[in-house]
Amino acid sequence: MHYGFAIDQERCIGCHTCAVACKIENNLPNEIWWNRILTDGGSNEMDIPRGSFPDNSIDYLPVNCQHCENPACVRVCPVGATYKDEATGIVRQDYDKCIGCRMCMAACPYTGVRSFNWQEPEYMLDYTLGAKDSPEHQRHTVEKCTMCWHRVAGGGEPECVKACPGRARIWGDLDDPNSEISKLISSRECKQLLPEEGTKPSVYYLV
Amino acid sequence: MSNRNSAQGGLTRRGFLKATSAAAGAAVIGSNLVGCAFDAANAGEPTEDEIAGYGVCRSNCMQSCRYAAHVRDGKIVRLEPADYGEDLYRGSCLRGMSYMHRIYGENRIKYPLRRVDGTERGAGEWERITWDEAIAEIAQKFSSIAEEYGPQAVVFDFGTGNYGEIQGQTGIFNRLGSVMGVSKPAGMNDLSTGYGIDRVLGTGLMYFANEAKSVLDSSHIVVWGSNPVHSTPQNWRWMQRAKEQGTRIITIDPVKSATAMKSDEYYPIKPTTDGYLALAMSNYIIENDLQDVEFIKKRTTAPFLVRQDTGMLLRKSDFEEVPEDAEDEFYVWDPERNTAVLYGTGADPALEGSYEYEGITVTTSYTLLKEQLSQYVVADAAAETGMTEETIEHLARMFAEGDAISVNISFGMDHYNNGYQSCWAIAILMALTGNVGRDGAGFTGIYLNTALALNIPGLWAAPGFKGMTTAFPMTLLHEVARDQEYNGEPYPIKAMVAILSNSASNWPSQTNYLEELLPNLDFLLAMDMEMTDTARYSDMILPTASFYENEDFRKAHNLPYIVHQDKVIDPPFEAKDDVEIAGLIGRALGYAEAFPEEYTFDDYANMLLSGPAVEAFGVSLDRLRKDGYIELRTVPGKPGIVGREKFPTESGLAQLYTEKPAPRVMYGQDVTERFPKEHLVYYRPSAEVSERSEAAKTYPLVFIQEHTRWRTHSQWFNSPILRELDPEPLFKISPEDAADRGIADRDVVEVFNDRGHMVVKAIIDPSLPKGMTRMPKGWQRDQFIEGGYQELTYPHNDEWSVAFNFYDTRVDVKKR
Repeated sequence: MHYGFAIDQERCIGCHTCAVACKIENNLPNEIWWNRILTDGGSNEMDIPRGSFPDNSIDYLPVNCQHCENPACVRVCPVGATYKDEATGIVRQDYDKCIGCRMCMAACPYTGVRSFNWQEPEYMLDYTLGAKDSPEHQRHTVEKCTMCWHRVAGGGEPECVKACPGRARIWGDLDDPNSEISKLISSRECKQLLPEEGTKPSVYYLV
Repeated sequence: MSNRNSAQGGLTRRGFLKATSAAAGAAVIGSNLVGCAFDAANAGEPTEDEIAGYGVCRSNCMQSCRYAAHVRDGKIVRLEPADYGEDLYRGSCLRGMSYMHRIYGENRIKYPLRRVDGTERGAGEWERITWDEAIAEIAQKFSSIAEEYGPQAVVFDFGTGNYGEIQGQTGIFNRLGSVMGVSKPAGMNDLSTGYGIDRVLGTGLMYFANEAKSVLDSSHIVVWGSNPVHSTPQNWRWMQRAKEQGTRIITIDPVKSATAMKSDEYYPIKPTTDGYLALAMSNYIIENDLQDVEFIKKRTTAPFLVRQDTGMLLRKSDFEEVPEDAEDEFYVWDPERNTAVLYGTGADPALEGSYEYEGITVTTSYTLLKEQLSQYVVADAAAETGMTEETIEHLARMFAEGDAISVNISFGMDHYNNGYQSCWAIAILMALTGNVGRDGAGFTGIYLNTALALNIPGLWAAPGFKGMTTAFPMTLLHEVARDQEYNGEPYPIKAMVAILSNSASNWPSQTNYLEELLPNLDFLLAMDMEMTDTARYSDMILPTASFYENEDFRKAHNLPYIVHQDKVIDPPFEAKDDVEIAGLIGRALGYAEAFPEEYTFDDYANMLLSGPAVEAFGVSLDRLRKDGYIELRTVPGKPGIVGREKFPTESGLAQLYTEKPAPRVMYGQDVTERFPKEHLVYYRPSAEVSERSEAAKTYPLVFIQEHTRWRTHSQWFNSPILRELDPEPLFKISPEDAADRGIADRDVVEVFNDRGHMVVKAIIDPSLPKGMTRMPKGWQRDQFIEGGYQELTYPHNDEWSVAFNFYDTRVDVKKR
């Protein structure tokens, strides 16, 4: 089994619903976003397109941990806190083992998918949101998208997939040639982020 | 050091361009991870046991997403998109899914609050009071005002913060207002589109549209002055699916909207000239004999004869007595017998021509329309709209030749002074090309099943019913309050209640509200769950319940269902729902018969859920509770289509000529001058935005309010989770206009006109043409550096459509 995402950029409207759903489901601390919707446009401002009127265009790039087949983060972790689950292909992070050295953050070419809790995590609301069995956030640990391990382990799907109003996020088993995701990847033109890094991401962007 | 991994920072665009240039291609993914057992022991989707109930989001985005509310320890922890009968009607958005941040966020009003005596309105000094104190004070104020000035001196301002049928804008507070006999100024929001389309389709003020799913049957979707990608993503989902099946999407918009960027074709147009475009297209179609003659004959009033002397249609009652309850039939011309005959009795009636009948000169509606349209030629339209003649002809041919065209239209054009004429013209274009009343053809945008009529009188008309007085529209409230008279007669106004309403923020020309309305009110009561502009300027605030804190149901907008809201949590702190608050105020005022102590939600719900229409659909409170939602489609399996059999006009036909034009609201305005022009569709330039306006001489920039994903009007204005992504107000300006004024990204600018100003950061937006500016709607005054965007907006209404014209606004900008 090798779980991955396909993100249909034709369908994606950059609405951030998946990002918000992720933040709630995983009870992410303030200012932490495991899943970010980047504007691929004309300036550094969100939602600003490229080009001159009326020939503007814009793309949105939802970016979370790419759950690489050949993860750069795993190679550099001195304590084995970040590792690939061979049964699922999910790249995991063991908060209890993490010593906060941030080598994984430096090694990962997908800047920004990992976050580090410099302080004791703080929250907007005074109770725990989302899944009751999502791991607690700890000071001085690195975190990232777990592919909603707590859901997937129980036969569910990641929260971002269900949340997407555009039905742009498809999740499934890349090993199964009959899965929806495999069919899409084999029938549509698709791209991966930074393929030259040799990381073999498990996230495919359908263009 | 910050732990922020900001929503936009980190990865550079260049990095991603590099990334996306290298395609993995259409590769089949292989793997050596075969057959590994995945330990799912002790697992199980950790959700079902937590679902405390189901509900429906009810803000004014005109969509109706259903959610399963997961509750732990009495608090909502997750709102999971829940199913309807069809997969693509399962909806969600960042606002709906994060609603718990509004329930439990810092902005929530927890207790009844009273402005500290001696402090200024808006100073933010509040004292906590008990519900008993609050209700007693409210009752005392309302009673003494009613006694001294009459009950109409209390104004109920209904907003759109909740579309629940009982707790919402048409709900229980109308029962209270009706026994009190308060004033209810005529609503002004979003009513030009419907008013214009009604001239042709007879669809009333709001429900002119087909079901969202209907676009799957469209050959072309024309998105005209709306931006569903941002503002109605649940409707866009169907349009995207249609596009994937081969439907062509064409956007007409002054700005390159998010929807335009997802469309197959995009045509920029000068703002407020859409009506001219539609009229010139219609004229071109007729000149080139491209109209749908079959449709025009069978389904429009084209052959109806118009009397030259009166402008009225020639009817049976012109020659004989017609009993009041009988149909006053229409005459058409029978060319074979060369005489007028009643419609439906002759052979093929004449579409064109002028005739004499019994000494009366008559002309067909179609001939009059053709003559009217002939003044709108493509060359002039090109000059007016800024489009090329080729584009206009291309679009006209598309409307004429496409199999089934739907036009997604919401309230973009609506928000200008000539909005109804634009929408009227588009409706005429669609009727002439046969693009209404059938699968895939017609308007989309704001669908509601109108066949299920809830028993509104049952809810509103309590024992002791007086009714609410609607003498003038909201645009004039500040003048009436200032002068304490209306149309030369005394009209005292002393108190106002904001019900599901943030009128201080959402009515145009905020200065009128703050400087003329407020100082002339003795008492402003806000009922809200958050500290909105209106709440901040009020004298007392009652904390109200959120969507999930009481039971309700709603006829779903854009979906073919009526859907139930379970009460999934208790109102936190001291919040109360509208049923309880209306009862408390009602009984304190002595209306115990209308609001008996023992009445609960069920009693009021059952009043509304009674009558033959409700029974015909098998809708009941029990069934809503059990099933969650009930499908209301009238043709099983078919999306709801306006006018599938016949249009809701007197004749059942689409009207090419308006026999008895009437303003949307009569409030004493002089309508005689324009009356003769209102029979036949025409173009009228907008008030300020038109390049020929007085305002254009002084203020070069059009200013519109963008409906973004972050807020629904002003709701979610301070959601902490959303503000991490969208932290502050930003004014958007074109690169040319910015360069002319030396403005760079994130510069602080002052946006101003004669009515007011705002000081805010600017960003440069190349999807705007020179001369157009915009900013996302919904920010509150205390979120600006100075002022606020709603100070700038055009204050007047057109005398016929009587609607707010937020976008008919010009400004200028300078760097601070």
